Amino acid sequence: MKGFPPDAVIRGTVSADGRLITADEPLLSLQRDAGGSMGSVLVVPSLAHLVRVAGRLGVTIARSVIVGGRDQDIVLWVRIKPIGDGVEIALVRQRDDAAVRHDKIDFVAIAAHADMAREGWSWQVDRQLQFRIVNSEGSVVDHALPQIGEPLSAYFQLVDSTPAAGIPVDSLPLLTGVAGARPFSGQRALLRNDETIVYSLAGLPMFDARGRLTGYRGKARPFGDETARQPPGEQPLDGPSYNPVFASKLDHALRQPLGRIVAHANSISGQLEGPLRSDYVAYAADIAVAARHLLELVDDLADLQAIERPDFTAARERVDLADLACRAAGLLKMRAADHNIAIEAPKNGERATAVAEYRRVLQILVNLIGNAVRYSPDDSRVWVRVDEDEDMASVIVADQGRGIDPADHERIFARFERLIPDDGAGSGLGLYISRRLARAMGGEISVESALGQGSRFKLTLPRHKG
Amino acid sequence: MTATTDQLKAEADPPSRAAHAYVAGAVEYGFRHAWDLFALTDIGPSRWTDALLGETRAHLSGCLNAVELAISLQMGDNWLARTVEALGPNFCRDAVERSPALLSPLLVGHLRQRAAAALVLRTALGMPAVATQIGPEAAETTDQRLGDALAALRLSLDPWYDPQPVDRPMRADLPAEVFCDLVWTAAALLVDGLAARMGVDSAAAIPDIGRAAQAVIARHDEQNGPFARAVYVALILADDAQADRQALQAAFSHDLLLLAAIGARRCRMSIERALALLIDGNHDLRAAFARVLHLSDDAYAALLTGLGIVRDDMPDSALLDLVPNYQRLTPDLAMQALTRWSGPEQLIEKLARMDWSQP
Repeated sequence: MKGFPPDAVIRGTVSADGRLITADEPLLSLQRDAGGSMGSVLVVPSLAHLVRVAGRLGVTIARSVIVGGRDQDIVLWVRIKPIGDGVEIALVRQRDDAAVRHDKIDFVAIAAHADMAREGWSWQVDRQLQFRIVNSEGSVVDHALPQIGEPLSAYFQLVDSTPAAGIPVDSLPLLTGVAGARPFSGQRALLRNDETIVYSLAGLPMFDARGRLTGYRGKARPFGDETARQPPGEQPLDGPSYNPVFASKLDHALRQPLGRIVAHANSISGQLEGPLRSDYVAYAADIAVAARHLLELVDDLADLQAIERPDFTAARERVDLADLACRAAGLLKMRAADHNIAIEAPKNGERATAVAEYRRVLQILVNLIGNAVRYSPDDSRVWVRVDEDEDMASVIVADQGRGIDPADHERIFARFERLIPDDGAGSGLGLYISRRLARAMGGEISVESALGQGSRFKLTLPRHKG
Repeated sequence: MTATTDQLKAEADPPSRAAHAYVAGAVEYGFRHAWDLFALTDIGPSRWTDALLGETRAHLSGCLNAVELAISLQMGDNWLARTVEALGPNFCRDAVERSPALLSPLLVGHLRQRAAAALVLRTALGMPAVATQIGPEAAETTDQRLGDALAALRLSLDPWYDPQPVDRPMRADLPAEVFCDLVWTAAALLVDGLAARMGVDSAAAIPDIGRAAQAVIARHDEQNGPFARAVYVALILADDAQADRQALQAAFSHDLLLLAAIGARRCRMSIERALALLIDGNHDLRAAFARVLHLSDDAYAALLTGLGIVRDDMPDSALLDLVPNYQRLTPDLAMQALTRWSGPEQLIEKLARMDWSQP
């Protein structure tokens, strides 16, 4: 770390109430990096803890600590001695910080785990890399799968990865992984029987109780043609680089700060701390709307991540669609009232029981009714009705909006497509997610509409026959 | 008729409530005793071999004797100091053996590790005298600071080579928190002893003994203890190669403290955690610990043999059967196995108590 010379003794004093009273520059620099200053409470966590212990016990403490510096961890030998009304600190930086092991993020392992969750056929090999299990369930394979006992190298021809400009790439990840009994991913491999077929292999090592490598289990997925194999309208979000682990981290990293932005912007626009100029109030309201929009997008991405997992399933329970429609309408009543839009929910006593997952149906209905409210003109009406036939129960959401051109009826169910392009409202994922959820529950969402005639969305689900 | 203050107080605090408070206090007191006793005799998965129990008792007695002496000397020459002297030598040691519940888990846990390190050290072949130990190591290194640090460590370990009679004082070179606990234990035993045996009012004894104990604590410097010195040596080793060489030497000389300190540094855990893995950990964990230090097969075997006296769970011949498994263990796998032990101490402790993952 800059300005922290090795072997020099750095000194400082801390008062009885924990404030840094004097400090040599390197110590002050640590304090500043941690958000404190001279005269404020010592905020370098590991030092502050030892200062408290020494002060409380009245005893000299001398031990090594690791302090998080701006760029890297610093290993210090710390001596803290109680003096009068405070403590005296002496620090010595001991050795080159490069020798300190940092917790490394194992990106290869993360990528391998991510690849395991993607589509493709599964394989398992023993320590000699001979196939032991091959499973193509749930994926389309138009060539012969390996025989049990066949060596992996006899079935596949491993291909060097081409490094991208300036980015070092492990040319044979499988061999590197096997050599270190580590996970691997992104190993390109050709079928020896048909070299036009290229796969990307990812694998995780398996160990016995004694920690010995027993083999690998992994996924083989077609290399570079993921989009071609997807059903229309269901292209992967981001091509091959879509990574559910990354999406999950993004979700956690964004939701909290966005929530704070919304809360603060609301409190400013609500003038909770006193009157403000009207243009500032309007800016704050804009910020709140934009942040809420981003928050919805994060929610949608989280849902997208969940439903795109190969093992995604929805619970099957008995639900009353009429009851759920009333609840969803109730949730949107205030938003509708802002535009003087009336929502006509199913009447008391109406019932339409289906087999589906309660919260997922509610989510779909909020999306459908929310869209209806969003695209309806002021002073209009949204109808929510339930119906059932012998096999299916349904909810119909109809509005008096501008309607949808029949040519766009399928487009609006694709990712990032909106009912009205460039309207800036919503993430463009709502209908896509709703339809995927409906299908996961054995149902469907369809639309009937024409320009100028309003829209009629229908959610159908298997009827409960109890 | 006007109610007196006492009457009001009696109504506010009726006998039943007072009794309830007494019972609650007794339950709490009893619980603490039960907990301490549990900690003394059975710290989770810890094993107590006869040798380890005896050595721990010797370290406890020796340190307590030293602290009692220090408090007495600190009190100077007054009537109270003379009354303390009249309690007899090593009063605290006798008293604590009658009230073991007074010992905190922190103190017992540390003394157990210290005793284990002493026992293992004593089983090294040849038991070299301090002069011969300091010589070769200091001569081997051209790093003056490292040489000095190693010599200081050897000097602090020197008293451990000989079994300690329980009636002698032993240098109480303990970590700060443990030392404070020991001093306040001794002070409490003295106050209690003065009241019970000499009829000294505790109100008179507590201020003087408290001041003396605080002065003893203020003079203590944990930097001079063997644990701190071992950590310091590990800290100033120039690079991994030098650390590997020192670890190898420590394994052959049964220097558990230095070995644990170097391993702790490498795995980013405390020396106490590293010692717990070596003393109480299973064979896989010990092998992993040795592997991250790149110990050779024979150094690993030497380590296992040295630890035998504190574990006593396998004959020496069976210990050697573990070496082939060790040969198959890679440093990466070893580090992976130890990663879960490098979290915050309190978290690891709690999980261990929940039987979630034993060392």
